[in-house]
Amino acid sequence: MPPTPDQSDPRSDIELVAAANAGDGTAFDALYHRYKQWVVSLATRFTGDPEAALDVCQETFIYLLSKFPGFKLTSRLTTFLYPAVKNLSIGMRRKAAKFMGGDAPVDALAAPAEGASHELVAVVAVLPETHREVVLMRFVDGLSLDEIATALQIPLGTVKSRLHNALATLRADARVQEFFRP
Amino acid sequence: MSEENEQFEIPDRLANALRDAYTHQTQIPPAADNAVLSMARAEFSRRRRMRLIARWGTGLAAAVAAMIVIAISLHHTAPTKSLAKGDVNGDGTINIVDALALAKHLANHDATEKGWDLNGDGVVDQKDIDTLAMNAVSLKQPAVARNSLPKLHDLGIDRSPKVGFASANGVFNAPPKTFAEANPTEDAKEARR
Repeated sequence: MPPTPDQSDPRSDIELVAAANAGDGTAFDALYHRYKQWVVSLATRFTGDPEAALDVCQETFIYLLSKFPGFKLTSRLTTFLYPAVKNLSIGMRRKAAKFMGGDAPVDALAAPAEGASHELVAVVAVLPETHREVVLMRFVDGLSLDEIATALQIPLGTVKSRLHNALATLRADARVQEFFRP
Repeated sequence: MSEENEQFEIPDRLANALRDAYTHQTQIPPAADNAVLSMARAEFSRRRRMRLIARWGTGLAAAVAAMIVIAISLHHTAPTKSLAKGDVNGDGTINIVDALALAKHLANHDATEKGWDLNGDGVVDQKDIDTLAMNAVSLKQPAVARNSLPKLHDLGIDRSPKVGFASANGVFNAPPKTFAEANPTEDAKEARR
């Protein structure tokens, strides 16, 4: 679920970004508190490691900090943060793999949370990585199709195609048929 | 919801199940918060200082530039006109007056200038006066130079025609107008006395 403005600072993301551009440090604090849980959750999904996710979260907000002043928010902040979290997570996993002596290519994981339905996780795991990513961005992270296209830097038609095929696979799978019954 | 968008939707139960399955409730320790926020505060503080320094620096630089401009404009004098060689009195022309002025300087043992060494022998002396005088009165000199010669009247010389005799007591006597006045007899001379 995308983060919602917290009660501590009623300003919108655009207002906070404008204030941070003007040198208001409290605006950046508000952005951090608003998005830190979303970033850590996403990073945990990509890395499968909560500790590594905290490092990714720190790196992500340092990256965001480097954009001020002069940062232009042209879409939702999650759209901006998503590729940063994904790339930093892959980098973190690659470092860990190198430390462990592995040479295999490293991709982003889609690690489920504890206590997740095994059947649902198994069905999602069957999906091709690109399809799975679009499904999770749409229904877990709450991004619109346009925002997914922006975050992944792919055409909107490609997003629609991937999502259509992924949902067709889910509908056809008997293990999740109960979710589609009226 | 349009039909096109409906094909990209899933039942709410499935969406909630997916959200529950892939949303991680990782606890963020306060130390992690502090690490990020203290770094951000330090960075914003540094930028604020830099902005202040830039603002004050710009003002200071503008003030210094203004002071320099004012100082230059106050102390700026028109470049001294280099005198032509031989222009001893500095009136912009070279004529006999310069020769007289040079002679006066040498007579008074005044300091001399390089521009007065007209014959180029390294010494300013009588030869330079002669050279200057010769050049000043030479017919070969340009008409401009001749035209720039001072009027005799300006030099105190009155060349207005005065024909007659000056008596011993300084009275000017008009010239004789008749032969008899020009050749007086002895009686006439006696009478005049």
